[in-house]
Amino acid sequence: MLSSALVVFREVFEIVLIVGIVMAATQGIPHRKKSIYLGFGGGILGSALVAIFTSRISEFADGMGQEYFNALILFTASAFIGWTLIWMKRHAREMRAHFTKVGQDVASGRLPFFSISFVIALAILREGAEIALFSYGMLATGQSPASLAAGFTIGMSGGILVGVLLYFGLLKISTRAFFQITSWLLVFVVSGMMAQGIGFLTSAGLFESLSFTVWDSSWLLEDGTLTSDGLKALVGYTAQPSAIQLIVYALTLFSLFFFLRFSGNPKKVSISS
Amino acid sequence: MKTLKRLVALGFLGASVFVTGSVFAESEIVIRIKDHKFEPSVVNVPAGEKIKLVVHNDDPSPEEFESHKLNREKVIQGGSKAVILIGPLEEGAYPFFGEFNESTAKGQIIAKDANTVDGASGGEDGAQSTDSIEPSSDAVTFEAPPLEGNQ
Repeated sequence: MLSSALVVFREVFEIVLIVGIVMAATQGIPHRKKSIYLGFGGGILGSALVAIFTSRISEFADGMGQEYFNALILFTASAFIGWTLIWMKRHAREMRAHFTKVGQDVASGRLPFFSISFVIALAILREGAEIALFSYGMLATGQSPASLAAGFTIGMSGGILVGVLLYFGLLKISTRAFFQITSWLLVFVVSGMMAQGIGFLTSAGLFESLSFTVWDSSWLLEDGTLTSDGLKALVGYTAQPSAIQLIVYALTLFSLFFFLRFSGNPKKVSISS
Repeated sequence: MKTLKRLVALGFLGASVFVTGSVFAESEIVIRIKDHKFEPSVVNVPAGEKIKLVVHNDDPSPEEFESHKLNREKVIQGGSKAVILIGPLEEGAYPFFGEFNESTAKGQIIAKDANTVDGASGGEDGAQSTDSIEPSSDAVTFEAPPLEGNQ
């Protein structure tokens, strides 16, 4: 039961870090609660689907289907988060004034409604599928459903607790400054996701000449510990980054930084009082 | 913005694929998962070569093959198999494990330079590995097929 709890906790932990930050960072975007619920629903449903079709997915592309799929999820989530960040930057003034344009913006597609849903769904999807498969596996090998359910609940609750603490913690320390800390965190999250995605492509055999390991920092922080898992979700930490991963990480980080820093000349918008 | 970002990423991808090396057949190694254990649990491979691991999951339940040092993770449904490409590896030991059954599913890949891999089967130097995995009697030594025209 304890081992089940641990596995579930670790998977949930990675999910809640991303979801918690996204939720905290998108404070003030109208209708975000609906997006969030949609994202959760989609993510859970998606996890079940991916779990069922794991073999089929793997068989694609000469057996590298899973790698491409994971890379796709990570790149897509990155794109959506990136777009949401840029949107928030552009509309910072309106958001600060709690300006809410109901209906109109959603209809014109200008609100990052589905972006937020997709980000949350994608964040849940990958690890969620693993949780589903793990649970099914445990049942199939005869572990008592009661013991599994108990372990599952403990792990899940522990993970969610971490998420809740993180969310409210972030809300507290988030400043009223022009670009909140949570948004900066997301920049690192995106960079990490892009690097991770590229890592999966390397696993599939792409970028061979740049797939060599540049350094090994396991003496400092080994992969697989809770701390490194946390850092992996937050900033994309890996103890053995490959050259292409470092390149992509740096490119993403600096591109986002410059886009956000210098794209932010909000047009004068007449704010109806 | 989103479109631009995606185009840039795609362009980068496209360009880099051409940069990668030539395609040649990798040496293939089979590992089986049975009763939540890897068989063989220790695999010797030549360093500096691309290796293709084919992991068969003979258990009815899924397993996740994972290795931090090899930077690979892959879920394998019960009764299914997965292909994992690794290498070229530097000399050393590369532990891997089954994330869903970590207590029993463990193993390692040991990469040695070709000229130090002699014909001995099954054994490995005790000094080689610093991991807590015990040498198993079913360790497999893999010898690279002779390369045409080289050396």
